[in-house]
Amino acid sequence: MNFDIREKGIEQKIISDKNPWFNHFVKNQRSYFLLLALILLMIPLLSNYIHGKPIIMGEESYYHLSQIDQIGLKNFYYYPLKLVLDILPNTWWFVIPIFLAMASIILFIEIIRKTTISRNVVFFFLLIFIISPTFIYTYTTLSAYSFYLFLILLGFFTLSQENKKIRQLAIIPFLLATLFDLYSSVFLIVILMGYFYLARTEKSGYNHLLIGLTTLTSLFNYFVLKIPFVLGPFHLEQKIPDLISDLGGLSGINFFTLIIAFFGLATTWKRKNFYIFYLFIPLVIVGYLYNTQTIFHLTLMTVFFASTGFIKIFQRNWDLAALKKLTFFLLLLGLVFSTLTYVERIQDYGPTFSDAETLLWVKNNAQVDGKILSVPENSYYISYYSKNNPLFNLKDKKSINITKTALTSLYIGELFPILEENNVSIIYINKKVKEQLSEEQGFLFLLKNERFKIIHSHKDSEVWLFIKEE
Amino acid sequence: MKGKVGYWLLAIFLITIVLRLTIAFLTPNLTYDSYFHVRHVEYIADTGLPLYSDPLSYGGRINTFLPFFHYFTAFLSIFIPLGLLVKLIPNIAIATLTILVYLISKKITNNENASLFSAAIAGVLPILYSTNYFGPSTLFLPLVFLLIYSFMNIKESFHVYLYILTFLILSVTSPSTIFILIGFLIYLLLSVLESKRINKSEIEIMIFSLFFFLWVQFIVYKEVLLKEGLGFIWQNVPTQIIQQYFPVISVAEALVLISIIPFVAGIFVVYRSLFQLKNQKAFLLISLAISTTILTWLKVIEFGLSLSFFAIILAILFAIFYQDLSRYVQKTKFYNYHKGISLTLAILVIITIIPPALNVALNQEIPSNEEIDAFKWLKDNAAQDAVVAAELQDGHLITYYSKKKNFIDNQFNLIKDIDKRFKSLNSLFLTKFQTQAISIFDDHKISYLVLTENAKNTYNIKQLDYVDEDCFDLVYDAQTKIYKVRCELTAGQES
Repeated sequence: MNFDIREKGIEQKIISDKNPWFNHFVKNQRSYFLLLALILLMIPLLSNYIHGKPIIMGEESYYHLSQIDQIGLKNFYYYPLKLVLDILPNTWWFVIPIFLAMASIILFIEIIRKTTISRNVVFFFLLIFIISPTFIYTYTTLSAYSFYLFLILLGFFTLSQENKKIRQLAIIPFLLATLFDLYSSVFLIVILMGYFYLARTEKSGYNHLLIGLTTLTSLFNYFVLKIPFVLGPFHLEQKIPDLISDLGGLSGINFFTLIIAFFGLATTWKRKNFYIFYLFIPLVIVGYLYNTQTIFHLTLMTVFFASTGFIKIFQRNWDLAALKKLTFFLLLLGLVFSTLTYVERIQDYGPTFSDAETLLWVKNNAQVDGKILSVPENSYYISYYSKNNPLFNLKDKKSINITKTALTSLYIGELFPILEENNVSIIYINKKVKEQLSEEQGFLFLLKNERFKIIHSHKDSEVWLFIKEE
Repeated sequence: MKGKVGYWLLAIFLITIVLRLTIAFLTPNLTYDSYFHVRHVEYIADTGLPLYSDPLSYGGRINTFLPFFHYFTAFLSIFIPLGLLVKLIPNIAIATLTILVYLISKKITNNENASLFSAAIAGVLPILYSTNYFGPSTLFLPLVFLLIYSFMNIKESFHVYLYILTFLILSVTSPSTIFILIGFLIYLLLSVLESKRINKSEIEIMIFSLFFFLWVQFIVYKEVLLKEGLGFIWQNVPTQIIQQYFPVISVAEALVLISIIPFVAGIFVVYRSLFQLKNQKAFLLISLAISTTILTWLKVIEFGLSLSFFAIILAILFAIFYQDLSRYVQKTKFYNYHKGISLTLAILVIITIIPPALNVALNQEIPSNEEIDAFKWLKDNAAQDAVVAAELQDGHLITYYSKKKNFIDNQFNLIKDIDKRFKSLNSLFLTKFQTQAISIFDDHKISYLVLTENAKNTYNIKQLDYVDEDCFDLVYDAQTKIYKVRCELTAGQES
């Protein structure tokens, strides 16, 4: 057998119309991507169900659920979600993010169908996005950005209709999409501007009205309704791991995607029809540096450049044709392994059954006359299940520092004044706290003091009472 | 290769091997680090699997590493006793650098004499004279230069295969392979800046290398990456000894280790290549040297390895210098003295390289026979699950010779609170308070403490101040002393 690495004279068709496999996948991408997304999203949810954990996971989910408990004029925009949650039994809440994922994929494909964007780019964009940890995390939790993306896509879908009256309805989802945070609203406005520029639509008054109204509503929401600049973070930020999921982040982008995105950026640099996309780069980078919760936007951008990079690398003819196949295979393996590792890991995310049991016990049995101290990641579980206030409050920077100082205290002389001044009466310890803090010294060691008393425990979760001085 | 040159090259190679092996076999034992690798080779030879779940290191821990070197040695140990292999493999591998340096130099200069000169320098570089070190870097260095050579000949199909095979082996030999990828990036940048056309095959092979390397590291170090995040790069080395791993060495010391004449010649060649000749082949070597420097500065690559690589690059660049010098001399009225000038240069090189090389070889950090006897004694006289504390460097002697759990060794990955543990180790040797020491023994369930000459030198002590007959039994009393701990804090005093 004579194997030639250069395979001279043999046509290279990994990404080509002449590759029947690739053609088949591209033609039927809607069905395949819906199936892929469904499988990836169901694995962690099924695992939660099998292990008796609350099916809905993630801090952000419990933040929104807590908001629904405190629904009023200030957060009226939670009414539609409340309505849906009231209709569905608790065990079926997981269908909400899955529905949003499926609907977003369908809408995206339908929108693109009406454009001249290369179907290869769309194929790889969807493939890389669906297997990204950001997608998996966003659509296995109740996440603001899953609603946000759905509304934006719905807006563009409506906008792409032939019927003028239907087109005018696009304003509704766009305005609703401004109710999450100011950063996302700015992102939406830039997308709208890019869309009207690229679509080369006639300068109609409606386009201006759409952008104008979206801008005004965004400002109104920010200044009057006091929506945050960025919703979150819901965990302690770490810039690098939050960006690269392979380094242990909560969600993020996998390392291979990031590398191909750099290729994409390098190879498309200064290409005229890409200018508009460069506008987003500083927006998403600055946004991420400000708050890692905006990883969702950064992922969208990175995945876009990764898909162009992927095509750039593998659409061209290689001198070393056999190596091209091997590299393609390696890259796919890398992406798949990274995704599988994440899917395996996400199943460990909270809340656990013990969290739910213990915090519900607090709600039903403990007469709490103060706040509950725990690590920031537990705060929304505490609010939702125990119906009590945690010391850590997302909207109060002072509370973040106080929580940090309390948890890193080495001596009771440091800890007790903090607990007393901030009216802390319960300490909630679970597996996450034990992983983060040493039991040999510091906060957990200080619990041996007689002023702390354990009042309930279940597996790794413990409720400690802080006895105040008479 | 002409016959005469071939003989000269063979002579250089053989002299290098003989010199290295003579020193290696005359010097008893291996360097401290080597015992980690020997133990893992033995385990692979016995079971066929790498010992990732190590029951002895740190009292039991997960330790993942790239296993090619260990498998390679384990395979050879079927034919040759391991006791011989541990000295043969590293020294033969390093000696092959002479041939590789010749081939690369020849490729760049097309000058046989200049290339032979470079090969001879590579054979006696002082930094490479840790003849009793047994570890992956001894295989890594020749493989890197084989890779560079095949990359330079990438237009030929044979060299594409050679490159791929070498890169696959490198990727499973050492994570330091990353410097090649960074070097490629710098090479691309330099070539673009100088408007040099880059061969398409070169770019393709770089893309393949990048993804293959990432994929292998991702698979092997998955757990470490997830647990340590970006800290993985720095291998969780305690902050107190990071300086020891990545020391700030004086220029004079570095010059001695990489040798002054190749260094001066190298600087001259780098200047000419970058700013005057724009020699693309030299670009690759220079890019790799820059990459190594950057990664060493970022404390990603161990200093010794980086300096070794740098020294070999300089040896290769010396060929360009020699060629330029020869051409220059021939244009001057001294052209009749051409051979004399070469001879003078050779003498100068010998004078400046061989004494430091011998000095490095004779001053390797190696445990004495007496120390090793003490650790062997522990094997038969301490309880099966006993935890033994000793100076950091001695950690692998505990697991290798004593077959007992150690308190600490220099494989730091995935060890929780490593700074605290290292601080505790220092306290065990430096504290004057018995309660503090016993508290550490209690916390880590340590039952023996070994005080070697090496520990005495490291901590600059003669004895342990807190040791007394009430709480410690001196169970081994020679130059090395072994104490058995008898007290526990929780039980009041003596248990």
